Parts: sequence; structure tokens; C-alpha cells
Amino acid sequence: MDIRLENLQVSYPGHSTPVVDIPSLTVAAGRQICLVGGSGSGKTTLLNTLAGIVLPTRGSVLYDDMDIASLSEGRRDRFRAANVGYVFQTFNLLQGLSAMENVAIAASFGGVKASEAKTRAKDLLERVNLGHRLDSRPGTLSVGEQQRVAIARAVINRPTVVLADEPTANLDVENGDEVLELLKETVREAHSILVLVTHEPRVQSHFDDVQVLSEISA
Amino acid sequence: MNLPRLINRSISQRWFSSCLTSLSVALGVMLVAAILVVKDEMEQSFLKPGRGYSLVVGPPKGSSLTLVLNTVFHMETSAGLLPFRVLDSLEQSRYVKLAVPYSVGDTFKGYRVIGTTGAVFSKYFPHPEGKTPQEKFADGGPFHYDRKALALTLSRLTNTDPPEGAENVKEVNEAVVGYEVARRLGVRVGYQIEPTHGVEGTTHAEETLWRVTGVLKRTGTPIDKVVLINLDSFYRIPDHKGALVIKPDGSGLEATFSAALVFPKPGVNKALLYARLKGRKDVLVAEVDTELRKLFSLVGDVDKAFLMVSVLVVVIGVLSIMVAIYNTMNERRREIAILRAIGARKTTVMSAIVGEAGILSFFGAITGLLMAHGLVAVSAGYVEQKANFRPDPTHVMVEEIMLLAGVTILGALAGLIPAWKAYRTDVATHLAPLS
Ligand SMILES: Nc1ncnc2c1ncn2[C@@H]1O[C@H](COP(=O)(O)OP(=O)(O)OP(=O)(O)O)[C@@H](O)[C@H]1O
Ligand SMILES: [Mg+2]
Repeated sequence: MDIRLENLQVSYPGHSTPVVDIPSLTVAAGRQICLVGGSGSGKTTLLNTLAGIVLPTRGSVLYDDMDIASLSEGRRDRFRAANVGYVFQTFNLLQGLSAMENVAIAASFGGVKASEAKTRAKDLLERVNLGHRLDSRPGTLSVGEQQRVAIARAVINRPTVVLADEPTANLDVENGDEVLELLKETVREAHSILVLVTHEPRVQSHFDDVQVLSEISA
Repeated sequence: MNLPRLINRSISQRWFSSCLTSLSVALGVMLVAAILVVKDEMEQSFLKPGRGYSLVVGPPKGSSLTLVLNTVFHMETSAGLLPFRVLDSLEQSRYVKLAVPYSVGDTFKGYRVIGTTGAVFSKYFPHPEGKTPQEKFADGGPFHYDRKALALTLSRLTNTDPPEGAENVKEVNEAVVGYEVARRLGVRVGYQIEPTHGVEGTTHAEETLWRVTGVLKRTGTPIDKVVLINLDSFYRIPDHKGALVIKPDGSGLEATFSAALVFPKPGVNKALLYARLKGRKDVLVAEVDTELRKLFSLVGDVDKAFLMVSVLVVVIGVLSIMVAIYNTMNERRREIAILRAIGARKTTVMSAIVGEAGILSFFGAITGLLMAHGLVAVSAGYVEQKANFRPDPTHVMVEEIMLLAGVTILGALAGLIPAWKAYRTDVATHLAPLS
């Protein structure tokens, strides 16, 4: 599936201008794109809009030709479970669930059977080099390890798109680079689109396709 | 897998507060269940002695309740004297299946002595149960009862002519003892016992002995604590001349007895008989079950206030679960946002909270029920001492299952309030890193 943004505007009450204002942007299936913008430039808002968590004020987000805003809330939740993986900057994981459960739960929201979800979660955690920490609680994992669990969770349903919101902002350079490469590889293996937003120039160097938000905005 | 796991996780993450709130439900449920069980057992033990009895007929003095208590529970002394004509009319009534007369006034070592006929061993007499007389006995058998012997004894008392064939009548003094009497006093078949007159227990002027012919089976009713003697022998106890009254027409004396337990034929006969007897001036009739229920409703009402308070405790417990969950909503919101962002539906998030409240209530209620039965077990001895019945801790009532279901549902409903808050949690806002 391609993702297309058409005349997308997202405004918040109290903001005179739209926080997101992108006349046109298309990301073809399987592409990996890095969006760069300063603090407060609307990066998180854009990702939330792509995920259907925030609805556009004007314009639309199209998955192929399907407008995500046209779905009912319940369907949008189901669509998100199956088609969107999300990696946040911090606090990605659910406390009280093991690493494996954190990953597997996303699969079962996507409609995968429990046993199958567990097998997949285990495979993916091994893929991100956490095969030895399957039963660990998030609190006992380092920040880098937590981000790797979040990556595994984001790709478990082989979603249309993986959204990554400054996934390396809380990591040191070495760890950040490692997590970034792992993210790119696993997303590629899942045949998903990767949309990563960042304000760090260092992160951009990992991507061929880098777009500056202010440049693509109206 | 998700919902149970999410609920389980949420509870175990806050296990201490989960346990406390569950416990508050448990306390209320324990009180309610304990009251229900004890009340039920009390009612059972209260009504049990009267079970199987139908009507009691006594002299037209005092209240119906007193008559029932006198006759069925053998409490207090008899209310008065009932001419034998009444017994004859009862025995001959077409509505009556069985009439058992009681003549009372003696005790044997503190146990009431009752003069009665062989009818008391009929299969229609409910205590002890048994199709044949033998089935009713733990040991031995019925006393010898002879209608002619009664007529002879009464004729002697009233100074009238002896009945025909009186020469051949053998007058025996025989006794059947209740299970408790036998056990406590060590009385066995073949023993000779000596009833003493009146409840105070003064010895009769002439020493007369009664031979024990049988020990009744245990019934758990007041029958266990009486000595039954053949009716004619009752009137041979020398001091019983007081059991005579002047006939209504003044034409001499007639003998009397204390009361009769009357068992009507099935169907409408009871109502007809009751109406008949009710209309008579010379007798008082009482329905055993009605009187006991009336009395129990007086005694049993005391616990209503307790029950109300306990129900209130349950409600407070359930509310405390709601408040506890509600208070954690702020810390839960970020997790709800994460769950939603990775595809959990609103209804899933809501159900997890409703489920959590329901499960905490359920376990609270289960714990409470177990505690209630524990409490009954621990206090059974004390209750027995104070209230004369021993509640059975293994006695489980339908009401308890209903209580369990009700509390669980109530808890789940209370969970709807924090769940509603979860439902309205804005995902985007709460996804932002905590600042
Ligand atoms: N729910 C909201 N309601 C109102 N205003 C909001 C809301 N979310 C974000 N904003 C505002 O919109 C603007 C863009 O916010 P957003 O979080 O999308 O930026 P960002 O590029 O992700 O910033 P950062 O790099 O700091 O994460 C900010 O000015 C922010 O204050
Ligand atoms: Mg942001």
C-alpha cells in the first residue's frame, strides 16, 4: 500500500496556523523516509494523523485510496492494529507485561491467535537480539533494549507503515545508530513503509530519502 | 488472551491495593452471608420440631402459640384440662386421620413425662419417622396400650361402672424414652423408672414403677427429651385425681387430658376440620406451622438491621473498588494511550477496567463467603450455647450464590465509571512523553 497525503491540515484550538499543513506527499509501499523538523514543528502530530489517532482538520490521509478518516472509530482501531506500527521516543512498553507479552499483545490486537502471536514475538525478539530477555519486564531493560522491544512490536503484524517518533533521542550515539539500523532492517524485512521523524541531523544520514517538514509544508 | 492478561496485569501491578479493596468487599459479604446462614439455620431449627405436625387441640384457655409451645416443645406447664369427650369426637371425625392425646404433668429426672396412646407410634406421627413402629425405635418397641385399660382406669377415677370385660384387662405401667433421655440418663430397655409428680419432682406417695419398653430414634426435636407412658398408667399415678372435672350437665365427674395433636386426612379436610374446631367453644385449635412462623418472624426480625448494615458494608466495599480504580486512572492513561496506539479498541480498554472491578468484587465475594463459613464454624459452639442450635458451617445456600453473582455484577457496574473515563481518554494527548 502507498500512503498519500492530500492537502493535509491539522489544527489545534488556540493555534492560529495549522500545526501540520502538507499540500501533497506520497510514500510508496516499502519506502523508508526521514522527516526532519524542529521542536514543535508538528512531527508527532503528523505521525498521529498518519496513525488515525488524530484526525485531519482538512484534507486526507489515504492508504491506497482508503481515507482513514472515513472509518468508524472501531474500524480505525482495527485498521491501526493491522496496518500501523508505532515506536515512540520513550515509555513505549506496558509495565507489568514481559518483553514477549508486550510484543505479542500487538499481534493479538491484529487478530492473530495467542499461540501464533507468541511464536512470532519470540522470533522477532530474537531478531532484535533479545532472545535472552523474553521474560524480562520493561523496567529491567535498558533504554536501548526497550526500543528494540518496541521495534519488534511495531513490525509484528507486518504493517503497511511503521511510524517512528524520534526513536533514538534518548540513546547515546552508538546505541542510537544500532537501534536505527535494526529498525530499518526489520521494517524492510516486514516489507513495511518506514516514516521516521527527527530533529537530529545525525539520524538523517541513515536515510536516502530525507524531507524537511518546512519545505514540504505550505 | 488479551483481556484476561490485561486485567491480571493490572491487578497484580497493584496487588496490595487490589487485595485491600477486595478485602473490603469480602468483609461485607462475610457479614451478609453469615447472617443469612445463621438465620436460615435458626429458622430450620426453629421450625423443625413442628414439621409434620398439623393441628393442636387444647382447652379453650390461653393463646394458640402457648398451646403449640406446650404441646410441641413441651415448654411450660399445660394450660388446662380437656374432657375425654373431645378426644372421642376427634377420633371419630371423618376429617381426622390420626389424633394423639397428651396428658402431661409429670417429669422424670427433669424430662417431661407424657401419657399417650399407641397412636403416637403410628406411621402418620412424624417424629421419629418410620413406616412401622419398629422403624421408629433405636432399641426395644412400643409400650402396651389398651383402650379398655384406659376405660377401666378412668371409670375407677370417676367412680363409674367399669367397662365390659374389665376383668380380663391387664393393667401395665410401661414407658418409652426419647433418645436424649436414654443417652443422658443411661436408661435402657428393661429398666424400671419412677416418674415423680409435677415439674418440681416430689416423689409420689405410693411408689410405682414403669418398665422401659423402648428407646426412640434420635429426631433432633423435643421428642428426644420426653418419656412417653401408656395413657392409662398416667391416670394410675395416685395424685392425678386432679385430672377430673365436673361434667357440663353436672351429672358427675369426667376425666381430662392436656392436648391432642391432630393429623387431618389429606386435601381439603384440614381446612374443614380447622373451621369446625375453630367454631367450637370448648376447645382451642392452633395450626403448628403458622404459630411457629409467626413466632419466628418476631424473633427473626432482629437481624434485619444487621443485614441492612452488612449490605451497606458490601456496597461501600464495591464503591471502594471503584474509587481505587478511579484514583489510578491518571497513571493508567498513558498506558491506555499506548494500548490504543498499538491497536487496542476502546471497548477492549473499557472491558479491561470493568473486568478488573468485576474480578476484584468476585474474589472479594468468594473470600467473604469462605470467611462467613469459617466464622460459622468457629462460632458454632458459642451459638449452640446461647441459642440452642448448632449452625452447620457446610450449609451453603442458594442466596450465597446469588450474593456472589450480585456482588460481581455490582462491582462490574461500579467499574463502568472509571471505564467511562478510560473511554474518553484522548490518545494523542497522553502519548506525549510525561513532562
Ligand atoms: N493535543 C494538543 N492540543 C493542542 N496543541 C497541541 C496538541 N498537541 C500538540 N500541540 C501543539 O502543536 C504543536 C506541534 O506539536 P508536536 O508535538 O506535533 O510537535 P513536535 O514536532 O513533535 O515537537 P517535539 O520535537 O518537541 O516533539 C506544538 O506547538 C504543540 O504545543
Ligand atoms: Mg514530538
